[in-house]
Amino acid sequence: MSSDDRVFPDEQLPEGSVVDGETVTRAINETFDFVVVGSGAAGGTAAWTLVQAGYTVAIIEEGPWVKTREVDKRVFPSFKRAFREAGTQVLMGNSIIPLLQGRCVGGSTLVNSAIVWRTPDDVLDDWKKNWGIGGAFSEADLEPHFAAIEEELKVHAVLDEALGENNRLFVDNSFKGGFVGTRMKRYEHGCKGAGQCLTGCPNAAKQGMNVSYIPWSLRQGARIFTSVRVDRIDVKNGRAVGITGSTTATNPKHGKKIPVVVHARRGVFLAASAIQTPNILRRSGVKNDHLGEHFMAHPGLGLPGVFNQKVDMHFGATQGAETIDFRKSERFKLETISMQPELAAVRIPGVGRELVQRLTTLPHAAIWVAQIRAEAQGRIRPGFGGRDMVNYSMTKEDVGRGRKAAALIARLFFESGAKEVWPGIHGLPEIIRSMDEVKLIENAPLDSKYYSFIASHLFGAARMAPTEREGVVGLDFSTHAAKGLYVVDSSIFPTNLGVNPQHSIMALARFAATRVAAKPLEVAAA
Amino acid sequence: MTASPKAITSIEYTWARATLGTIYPACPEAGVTQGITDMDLAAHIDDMDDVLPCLTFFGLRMFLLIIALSPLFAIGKFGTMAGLEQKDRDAVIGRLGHSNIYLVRQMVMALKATFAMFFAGGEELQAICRSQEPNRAKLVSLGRKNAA
Ligand SMILES: Cc1cc2nc3c(=O)[nH]c(=O)nc-3n(C[C@H](O)[C@H](O)[C@H](O)COP(=O)(O)OP(=O)(O)OC[C@H]3O[C@@H](n4cnc5c(N)ncnc54)[C@H](O)[C@@H]3O)c2cc1C
Ligand code: SF4
Repeated sequence: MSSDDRVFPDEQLPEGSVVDGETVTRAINETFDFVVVGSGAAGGTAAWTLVQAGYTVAIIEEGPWVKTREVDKRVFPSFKRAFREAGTQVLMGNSIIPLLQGRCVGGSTLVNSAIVWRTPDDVLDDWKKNWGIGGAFSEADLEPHFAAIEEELKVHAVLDEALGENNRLFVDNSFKGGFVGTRMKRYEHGCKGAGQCLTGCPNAAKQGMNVSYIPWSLRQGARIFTSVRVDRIDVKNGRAVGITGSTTATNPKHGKKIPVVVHARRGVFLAASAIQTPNILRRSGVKNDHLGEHFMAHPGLGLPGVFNQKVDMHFGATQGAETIDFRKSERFKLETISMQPELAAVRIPGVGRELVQRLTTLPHAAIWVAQIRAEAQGRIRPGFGGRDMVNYSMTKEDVGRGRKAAALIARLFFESGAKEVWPGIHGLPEIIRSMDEVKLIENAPLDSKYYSFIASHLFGAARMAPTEREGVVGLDFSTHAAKGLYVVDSSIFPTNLGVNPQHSIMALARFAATRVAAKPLEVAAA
Repeated sequence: MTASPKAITSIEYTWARATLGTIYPACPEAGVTQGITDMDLAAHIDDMDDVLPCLTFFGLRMFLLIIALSPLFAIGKFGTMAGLEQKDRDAVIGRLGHSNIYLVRQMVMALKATFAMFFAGGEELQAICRSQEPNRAKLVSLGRKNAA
């Protein structure tokens, strides 16, 4: 606990606006105009939009509220509270790819790096021409929504005082790699460069939903039910009429979870993320050949480079520099990232004393990563014990893109003065020390088992399409199967983007909620 | 040795200490005097049992079991990890971690990743990794060149 006397935006909330499933003792049965499932990028934005339009809104969130004051810079305490399965989820396929998702108020926005990218024009064109969803929204439709979010969440490029050496090295040396590295734009207000966005911002500087749209919505009358898991959306006469779920904690008196039923007069917004949404739809009785199919990702591959001088990743915006020069030509985007030692350890070669000794050299390391716009498509199904099972195998071409990006990063490290690069590719030397050795990376096998990819940008699996034959969700954001059941997270995206997804998700959620809010009331079946 | 965890049997804990102590030992010459087995590993294992899905926790137990019984397969020596001398334990973990069989090296990787969250959170390493306040004045002046 901090002795800090600042008042953070997630404090002093209206009485009764937060119902904590970890402490409630009686069954919940309430009615609102709208129910929003999930409080992440999509849910937070939808809730705030609906509240501003004058509706009563219930937000249902499976995870707890990790308050700014409770943010712990140690990784395990933070991961166990804020991440789904304490950060141990994986995508299973040809290889095992760790999968990171927030599970807390704010969803992944509490633990992400707050990088902002509008949906690229070529992606919107592709969606319009090849996926038939041009009728749903255009670039011009989205423009005011992007602009409004950017203003509300204080989007701007990383400032000098929060840049840090990891990011500066990338920006200053990018020309040596033949590309332009720039400072990232982020949702952020007063970043102190604490370099710990991945465990939550201790300054409430990062404008995650947990310190912005969710508390703002509560102050305007919304209520949030935390640590409550939605089991299914209730559908009556072809219309969504509410949700049924239960608390995630058991009542100590009788050892049972407490039932939660929330009725929706006007509709339900499903915003539980690209992994959970398809399985919630399945549990709610939605049947569609595309449900759970076409899952896509941006697998990420990081390389540490070690310098003679100190880099001190613990100071500077967690992710503060990038280039999109290779997005179209090579289908990858390069970024910097600062990792706490607990997370960096896995990318440090070796075991035993050697590993521990290398851990102590981390103050001299920088980490640069590639996000691959992979073509692979996976499948999401219900797993054992209510978990989500994702089957996903990168294609050879996707791995080739990762390999090319890894070689480019290694080369840039040496151009920037690094003395060592740790490629983390099976079969290669654990450490390479010269430009000549970069060839080894260029010739590494095209098999994802040789690399350490990680996934946190997730798409598809309940895709939008004009007809039920082609997709799960219609052009009005409502499922084809049930009216008033709006899906507003990236599970509706027909493809991945090649840029960080949060801004696209938020703009679409805002657009959808604005449209639904303006619709005349179609009374839900009694 | 700290008290045994409740989540696993005492024999499993002995094996866990042998394996994890080989992955994350003390390294006094680098200023890390506490290896993972000098920390409250038992409490951490119980904590993991509380928060991880049972299948994931079961998977980690299986990895520890398989590795404990692997010396014959890995280096041709009879006995469990716990019964080996440290140099042989190092050889077992080194061999498995570099195995050409993906699932074998993934077992070591999974333990390395999950227990890094505990070991690297230790006070000594944290102090080393966050020791010096960076020279902000220098960062600002260099950064200005590229100010947006
Ligand atoms: C470590 C990390 C770093 C990232 N960095 C960036 C970045 O810098 N920029 C960027 O653009 N993107 C980034 N991303 C991706 C971005 O955060 C996500 O794409 C975005 O948050 C997804 O929004 P969402 O609303 O669909 O899901 P989430 O934000 O994940 O929110 C979904 C919420 O729904 C809840 N939920 C799920 N199932 C249920 C249920 N049954 N009942 C009740 N609630 C439920 C979850 O607990 C969760 O809180 C990052 C992601 C991670 C994990
Ligand atoms: S770098 Fe630190 S201060 Fe800045 S937003 Fe991230 S956690 Fe907050």
